Amino acid sequence: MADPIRIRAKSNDGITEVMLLMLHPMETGLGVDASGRGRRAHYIRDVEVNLGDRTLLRARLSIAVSRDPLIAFRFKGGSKGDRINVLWTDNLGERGAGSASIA
Amino acid sequence: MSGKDAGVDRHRRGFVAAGGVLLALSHVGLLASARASIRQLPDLFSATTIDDALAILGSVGADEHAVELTLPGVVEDGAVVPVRVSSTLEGVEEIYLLVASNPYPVAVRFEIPSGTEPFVSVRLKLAQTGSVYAVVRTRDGLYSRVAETRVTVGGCV
Repeated sequence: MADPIRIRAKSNDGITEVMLLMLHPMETGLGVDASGRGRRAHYIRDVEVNLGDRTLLRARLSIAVSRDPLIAFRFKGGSKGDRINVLWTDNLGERGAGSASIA
Repeated sequence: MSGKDAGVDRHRRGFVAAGGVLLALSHVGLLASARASIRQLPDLFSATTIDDALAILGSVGADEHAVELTLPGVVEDGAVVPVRVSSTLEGVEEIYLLVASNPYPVAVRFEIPSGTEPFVSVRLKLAQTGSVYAVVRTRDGLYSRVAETRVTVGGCV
């Protein structure tokens, strides 16, 4: 399992704002390393954020998303203490998962 | 006794052979149908020009007021450019971000389920100075907003 996901979720006036930081190289595969060899593309492709059975957000990323993807979004509802679950899958089949309570 | 066994064996061999043929046929069928679907629906994320990407997305209406796109006008480092999209439209289902100057312009797609606000922020790589497009899909169609960003150091390698 890769590095954990840092998740911050804060509820305010019926809207919860979620911020995700996923530690990942997001290598484009377009560059070359110090010895001039091509580097292999390595990037998070799919991200899913859930609250119980409810899907809050799905994202399809590409090599154009910066290293250590930081994504923020907002949804209606969510109560303090509810658990937000995040799962990502990268182009090489690696997975990362994390969860956090709404503050 | 042995004749009977041989019969079963022949029967089994015939069955295995038939299975092999079926498997081969189904593979050919699968490949053919996969090729067909690729022709019909080109992969958006494989598009290499902004025009191709927008053509694959479909007809985009330019409603400048319905989509808000916020990003710096000038960035020193194209590797980390904060981009934020929001919309006043009802029933937003998807939000796309496209970077015209990148080798593959389609940067990210967000699916916005019902109950999630039409608001996302993300950090993108910009290869060089150029346009960034936010495209929002509602059940009624596509709406876009374009912004220009000047990049002093490219960020796609």
